Amino acid sequence: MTALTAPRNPLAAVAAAARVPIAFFRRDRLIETSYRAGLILRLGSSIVTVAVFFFISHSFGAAAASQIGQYGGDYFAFVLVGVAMTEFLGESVGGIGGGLRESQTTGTLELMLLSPSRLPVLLTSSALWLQASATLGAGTYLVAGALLGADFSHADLLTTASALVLAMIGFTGLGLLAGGVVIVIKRGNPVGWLIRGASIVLGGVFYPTEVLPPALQVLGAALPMTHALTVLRGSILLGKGIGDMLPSFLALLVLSVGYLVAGLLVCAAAIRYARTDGSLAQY
Amino acid sequence: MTFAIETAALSKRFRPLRSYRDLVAPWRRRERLAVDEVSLSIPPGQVFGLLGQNGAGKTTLIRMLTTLLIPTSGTAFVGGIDVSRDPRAVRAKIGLVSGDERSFYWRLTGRQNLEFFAALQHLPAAIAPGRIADLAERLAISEHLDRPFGHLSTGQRQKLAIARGLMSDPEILFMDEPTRSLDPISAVAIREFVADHIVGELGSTVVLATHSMPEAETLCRRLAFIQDGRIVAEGTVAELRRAIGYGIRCELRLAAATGTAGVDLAGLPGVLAVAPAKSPVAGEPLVVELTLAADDALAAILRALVTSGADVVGCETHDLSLEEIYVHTLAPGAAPTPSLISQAVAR
Repeated sequence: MTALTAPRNPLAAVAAAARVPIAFFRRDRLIETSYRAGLILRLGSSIVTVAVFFFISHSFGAAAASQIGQYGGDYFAFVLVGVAMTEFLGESVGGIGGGLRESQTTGTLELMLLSPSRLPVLLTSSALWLQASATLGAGTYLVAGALLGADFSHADLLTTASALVLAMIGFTGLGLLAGGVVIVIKRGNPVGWLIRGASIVLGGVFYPTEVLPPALQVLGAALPMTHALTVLRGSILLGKGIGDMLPSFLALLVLSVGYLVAGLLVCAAAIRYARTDGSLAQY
Repeated sequence: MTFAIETAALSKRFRPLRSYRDLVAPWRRRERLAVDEVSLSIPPGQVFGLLGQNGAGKTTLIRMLTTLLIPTSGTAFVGGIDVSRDPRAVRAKIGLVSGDERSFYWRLTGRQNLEFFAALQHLPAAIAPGRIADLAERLAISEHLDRPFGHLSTGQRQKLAIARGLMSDPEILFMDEPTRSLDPISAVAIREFVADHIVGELGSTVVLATHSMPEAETLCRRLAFIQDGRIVAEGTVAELRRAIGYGIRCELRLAAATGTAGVDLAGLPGVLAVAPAKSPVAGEPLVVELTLAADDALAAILRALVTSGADVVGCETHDLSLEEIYVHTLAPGAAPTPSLISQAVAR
């Protein structure tokens, strides 16, 4: 029998620990890039979306300028940041749930769980390509927006990157919450739709949250999207640093870690439920 | 003796969710007993067969032993480890080969699939490529490794599933209908691989669930028949044959002119069953099939026939096949005659 012992060299240990996440990333990249037409259509769809918001901004942007004064007053740049973030949320919430359900129906979920890899490693690794893919999608929006005149020249890159990482963690947590429910109910992705809808309506994707009634603002404050957009708009559009937006940054940090832990717990409970009722593989 | 697998009163009851109402009123959920107090002891280094009809509980038992399903009650030790207490440690010792070819990524090549599962099995990056190449060569699929999984034949896919199951060099390999839907030549190749490499060279223990009687008879040192979740018989083929009390099948050829000469074969001592005599073709002998408790009944039968004036022109005996033992064990109360077997198969 082959001895599968832990490596003693720290570098080798890091490489061994990274093997599972890298394997997931490679698997998903290979599958995704094998659908070339899908990639081209997605790129085209992003450009069309940017064009739509460009013309909306040109038509009505002046009316919105007073509402978004604290973000620089340019509605086109404001909404592009919001739309770019919906890429991350959509990939996480839709992709994780969809991926888990697909692996349940094909039987690959059982094979993954049969490995000695830890469950949190398997679950979080399955989100890596989704985040990379969302980064490409969001990047397309911002680059296309910049070409059409949106001004991102003041961006504080460190703050932007930090907030993005936290948002990805939080969205992954939300995706795992939705995925856990999908494993149990085995149809659709109702929690995913709820999270997505709530984040778009209450998180301030298309308008500042200040226009919402106070009660809805309170609900919106429980979503990572709200704080991620506050910090990202501040850093990308106005060049603000973490220190300038500390309350929002801390709220994003706490919510993201909290949702990730909650998502992992819900998924673990759902998989335990599936292990009990025999639905880990269900065709 | 240390057993590779030991279970004691292992049971699994399902309470499936049929509608949202079952969530609100869980007490209304109906219970279904899938595995009922199974106690098994499987020695290491041999193939153990699990035979039973569809839905008998074979796959459920395997899924509990592979930690994919949580038992309702009882205990199970795999490789000396309790599956309920330390499932991760169990997973490091086992492999699973399923007959379901969908559990791969169809857009990836065979090699990419194996590389992915090798990483999940914590096989070091320095070892994995060599292991994949070695297994592919032994299974004669080297030239197909770089084709997309979806383009492979059923036999090639099944060989990849075996390679995946063996990736971590498991102490215990579970095989759930590994030759299902394979052509006979591919099935024989896989049987030879199991006997020669997995058990012969690696010394692994194999738990094989199968509907193929030739496969079970060829590979398994011990077998268990499972019905309605219970083990109804267990042992070597010889032990199972003895257990049902039907030892010998006898085919008598009698001259058409004399037939049985009026001898009531069914009433003779040691005769357990007589299949209806086949109508003789003109000039051909009459063929009568008997099932005997033991071969010492044969002398009395032949004596009775000859004394009555029957011309016995031929007599062949053979042991009951595993298929006949299986059918009789799972359909008790009837002798294992060929007609019974065909009825059971038709059912």
